[in-house]
Amino acid sequence: MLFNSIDFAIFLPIVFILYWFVVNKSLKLQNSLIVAASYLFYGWWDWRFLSLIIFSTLVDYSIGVLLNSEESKNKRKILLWSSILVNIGFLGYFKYYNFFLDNFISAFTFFGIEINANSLNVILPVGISFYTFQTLSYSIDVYKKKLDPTTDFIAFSAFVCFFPQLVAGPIERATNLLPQFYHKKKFDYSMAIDGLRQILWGLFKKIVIADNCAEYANLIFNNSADFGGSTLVLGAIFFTFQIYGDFSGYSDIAIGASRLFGFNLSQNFAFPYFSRDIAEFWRRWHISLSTWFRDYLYIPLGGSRGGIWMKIRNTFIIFIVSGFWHGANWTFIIWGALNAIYFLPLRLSNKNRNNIGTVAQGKNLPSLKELYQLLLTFGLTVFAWIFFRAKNIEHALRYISEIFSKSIFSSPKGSSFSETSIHLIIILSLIVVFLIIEWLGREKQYAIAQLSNKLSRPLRYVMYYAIIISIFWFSGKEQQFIYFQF
Amino acid sequence: MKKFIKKIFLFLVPMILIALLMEFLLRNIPNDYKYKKDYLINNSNRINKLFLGSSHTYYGINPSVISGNSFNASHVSQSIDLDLQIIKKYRNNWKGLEYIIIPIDYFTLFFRLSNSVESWRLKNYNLYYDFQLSNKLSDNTELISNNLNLNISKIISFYLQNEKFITCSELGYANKFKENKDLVKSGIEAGIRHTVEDFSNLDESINILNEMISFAKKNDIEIIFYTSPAYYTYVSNLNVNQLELTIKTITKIADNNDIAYFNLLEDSSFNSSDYRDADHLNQKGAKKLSLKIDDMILNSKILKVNASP
Repeated sequence: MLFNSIDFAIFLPIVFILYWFVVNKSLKLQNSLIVAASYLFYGWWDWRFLSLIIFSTLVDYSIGVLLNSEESKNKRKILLWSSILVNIGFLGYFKYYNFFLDNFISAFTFFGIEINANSLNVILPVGISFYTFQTLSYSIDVYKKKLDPTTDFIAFSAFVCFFPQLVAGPIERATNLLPQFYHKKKFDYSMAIDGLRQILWGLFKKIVIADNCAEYANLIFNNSADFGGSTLVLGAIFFTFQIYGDFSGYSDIAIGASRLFGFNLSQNFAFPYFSRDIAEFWRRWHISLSTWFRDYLYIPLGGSRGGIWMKIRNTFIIFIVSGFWHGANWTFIIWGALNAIYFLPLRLSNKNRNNIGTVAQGKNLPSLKELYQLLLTFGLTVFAWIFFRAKNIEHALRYISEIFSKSIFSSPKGSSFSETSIHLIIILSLIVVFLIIEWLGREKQYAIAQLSNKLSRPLRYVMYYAIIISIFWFSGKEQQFIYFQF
Repeated sequence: MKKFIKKIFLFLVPMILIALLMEFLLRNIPNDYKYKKDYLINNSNRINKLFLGSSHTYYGINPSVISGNSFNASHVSQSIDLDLQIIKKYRNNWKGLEYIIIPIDYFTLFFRLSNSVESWRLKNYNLYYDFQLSNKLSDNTELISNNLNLNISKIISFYLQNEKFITCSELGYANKFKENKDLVKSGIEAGIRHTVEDFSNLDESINILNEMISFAKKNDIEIIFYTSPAYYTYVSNLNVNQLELTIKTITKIADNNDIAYFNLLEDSSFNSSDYRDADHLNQKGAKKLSLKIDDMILNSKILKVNASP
């Protein structure tokens, strides 16, 4: 079920009413409803893959219980590795099997050895990369005794499959989300209103910004050989806003929907395109994944301790694994490696934590230096996204080489995109308006969070209606969220 | 909680009322689907020759030049599952029907409206033909199937500017033509657009055709298959496997059921002046095709009469 679908628009109010009016007397019933609704939400897409979630839930719940009663270090290790193997096994089979097989065959063919092996015709279960990481974090935290294992199977099931964040995050830590299922929820008016406001903003980002940018990004990337450098730059910029609007929009809807039920999820995006260096960008982009890798991969590898080579090795590992997490394609690996190259000078010179707060905090505009830093970081990010979006490495290299040709000085071929270039100008104007709203709200959790205390009620309502009208005005056919495929 | 529900209700009520009003206004704009459905309800017992299919028929068959009472019941992007639905919907009304003429084009056996980029048109069959093809709200409302921008301009055009939204003639043939397109460019684009990645719909399409054939046999109606003419810039951009599979499949079905099949894809009597774009005829080309098919029907009738004992 897509967040931007009519199905979800019907599903959410029904679950909301049942949650607060029918099962509001009992915690068990509230959690059971969450589990049932989440399974329905997921099964709407493909009910067969529910078995994977249920199996993963059973395994990690049992391992948590066993870890609690087991004192032997070796046995505890075996239990932890069982959890890792099951979760990574699912991920490896469904997501990476064909990639490794194809590369294995290619490598042998290169040396003149022919291998006959058939690729598997497997569908990638939606959200598998998200919920496997979530359950893994539980097992690891219990193993490390950072968290007491739960004995409430319903609460644990609800933690694993909580529908707002089941298929595309934020990847919640058990330490944050699981305890929220231990207490009966009481309706909180301001939290619910804030949730609705965040949902609205998420829908705007997805439907108005991402889906409209997607139209041009797809056209330019899919026919890149037909366009000159300046148009290709425009294509990369469109994709930059598409992926941000798409994914951060999803996160806003997920966080907002959770707040309707009284749950607080972690912030997943903190205005990443207003970053002054790449280190800051990675503290603001897909925060739940970055911190997951930091805590469960980077730090166990030694983190920043050790010598220069260890720092270089760990930086590359974390960025490349993070790239590979997005999909079984070399383009994601190169995207990760490129970000490691961007990040490394900051890390080695200990400047990676120079820009911690919000840019131009308390001011309307950034200083010239900050503006330069913002533009440079944005430019580097746009460049890296080319690898992320390209079909393969060859496509990305051709795309980039055309950008660095004379054609960069030609004017973009706007009129060839559609019947009229007016639509293109409208979309570019929308991006500018979007950036202004985001800039004004950059010190909050999401851009329009400030509306509640900055504007009078009538003005606020006008703003909400304007956003709703723009959503319906610019909407096309329901589009899949990009991160569903990861 | 009461405060929350009250506020949401007050916030949503104006929007819901406006939405309902717009839906009402949009549904009351006359369109091709509504027109053809009404025509079929009132005249299906008089029709002798029924033409079904997609835009190739819509722009390619002009019933006014065909002998007898014929009707063009095609719509843009209408796939054969919908052709079958139309036949079945009026199953008791085809009193005078002698021929059902179905185009089997390059994409026909593999294409379904429901999973194409044109799937927004499904709502027309649900709303105006009363088919129940999907339960999705977007397939059952005018307002949600298109964006607000388009809906408002549609309401303004019809109610304030008196623009007409019926784009077909009395007998169902297109009477509003788009501008001519470059034949080379449109051939490449249509070739890519009509080529499928897999042939997963083939078996279902064969079943649909068999169902049409058995219905026709039971009701003493003849089925005629043909492949529409197209300009060489389109034909040369088609996938050979998909094309061969289409021709082989329909030839086999026609042979097994003693049905006439005419492959006009590369018919030399059509030239560049007959096309609006590489795979759609213009008015001149449509007249030529309509007369040709009328002749073919007549000839197949003569052949059948001569062959009968």
